[in-house]
Amino acid sequence: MKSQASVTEYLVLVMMIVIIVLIAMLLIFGFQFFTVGSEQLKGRERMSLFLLESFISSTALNNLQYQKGSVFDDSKLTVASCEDLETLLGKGWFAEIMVLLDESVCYDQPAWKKNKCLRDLRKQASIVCTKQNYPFCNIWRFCEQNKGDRMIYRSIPVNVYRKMNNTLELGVITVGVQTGG
Amino acid sequence: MISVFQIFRALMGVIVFIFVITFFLRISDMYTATQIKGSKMEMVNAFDYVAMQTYTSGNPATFPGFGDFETLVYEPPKIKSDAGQHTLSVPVFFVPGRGEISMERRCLDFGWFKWCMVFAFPAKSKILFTPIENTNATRDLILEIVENLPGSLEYGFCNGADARTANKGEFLSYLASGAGVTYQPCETQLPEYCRLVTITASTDSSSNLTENHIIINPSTRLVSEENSSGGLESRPYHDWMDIAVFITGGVKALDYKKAVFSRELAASAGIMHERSVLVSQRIKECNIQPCLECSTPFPTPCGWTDYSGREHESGIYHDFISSLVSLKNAISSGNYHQLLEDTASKYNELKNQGCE
Repeated sequence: MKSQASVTEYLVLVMMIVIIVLIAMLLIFGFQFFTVGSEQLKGRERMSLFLLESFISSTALNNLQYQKGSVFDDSKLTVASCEDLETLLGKGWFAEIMVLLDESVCYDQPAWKKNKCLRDLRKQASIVCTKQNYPFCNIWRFCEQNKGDRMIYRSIPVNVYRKMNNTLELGVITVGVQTGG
Repeated sequence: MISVFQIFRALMGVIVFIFVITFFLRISDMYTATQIKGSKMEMVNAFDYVAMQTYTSGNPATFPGFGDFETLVYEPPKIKSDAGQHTLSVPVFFVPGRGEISMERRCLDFGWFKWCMVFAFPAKSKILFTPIENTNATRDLILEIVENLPGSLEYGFCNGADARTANKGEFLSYLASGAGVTYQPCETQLPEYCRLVTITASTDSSSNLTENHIIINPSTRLVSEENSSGGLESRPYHDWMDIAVFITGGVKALDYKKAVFSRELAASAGIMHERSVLVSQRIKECNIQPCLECSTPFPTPCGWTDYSGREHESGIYHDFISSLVSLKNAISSGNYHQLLEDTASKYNELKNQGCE
């Protein structure tokens, strides 16, 4: 009876050692998976930054009067399709460029011109650009994101050259890169 | 007297000890291998990141190197190593090697279209030239190639058994002096990270081809290297970049460059074509009704209609659009280089007229 109890006691001890070993293993591999996951996320963040830089420096979208790049050409943005840009920049992203419309520029104009200026400005507010409505629009969207996609977003201010009225306007570009989750 | 239980306990102790030790050894072995592989992959990712930065910013960069790798092969766009394979995010023409890797961006600029790539060479790389027919045209070709290759490399001539190198500045000034030396085929043993470039119009120059040795034939505009079966594999070249890419990675690199270049050219030509049509249409509307949206009327030759309503079918947007259409149609055939030059000159005309 006593020796049976000792055997049981011993087996319990062995089981506990095995459990401790398994827990140690789980912790080590759990940490490993965590590290891999965080590396992937870091990679996606780098990719979103790269995408932003590529957009800004792309000659396919920039106005070529500005040698250093960083100025989008509104007419190129209007005709560029998602497929074209995926060929140039890769897949798994979405982008939106919005020109910020500043009504205060109209207030400086003579009274007879002010109303037309405001009317024109409001006509293009929050309108996605197409070949039909160009240049009366101020938003360009590329590669629509699917609902439920997990993305990393980045936004920075940019310049947009409005070809038809030869002006430089301020806008914001937002890019999102899928995190794969 | 030892009881049965004590024997059982001793045996179980030994078994459990062996099990635990084996288990931990295997785990630590796996863990170490995974960690090493992870850190190598991280190194490849870092290389990709430095290449991306160089590509987008245009600033030269240095990568500390791939010291711990046992195997490292570059088959563009993939880096294959003992840690696995990784596809680079930007066009990189890379000569794998130990030690520091220098990266520099180079671009082809056609006005409306600019294509850039990154050269990545081990810092101590050398390029030796053997111009068998040492003519002015050959020297101009060498000048064009070297001017566009990274400044961190050493350049030189190989004449028979004599091989000398210098830094880029010294080499270019020596080349400009145009010393009229007659060159013999190179017979020297090539050092590590050295490429030998023989320039000759002779067609039987393949007999002494060795590893890391390429031949440029300016008369046929072909670049050649030795293939795996010992024969000669050639490709046509169109500009200095084709030759420079061939020097870094031979046939595979040049095929990759041409594929990426044509793909991006097709996409950019598509955008530029549609954009030029859109702009010329709007300019036409603008010039008919100037107060529509244009604060500055465009010069008459840009559009198809002038203020008096006269059609300008030969407006230079029209010419540029026609040349873009021809280019787009020719890209798939691969025979588009003259048309590309044509679009570049038409675009330049648009700029000179104030339309762009």
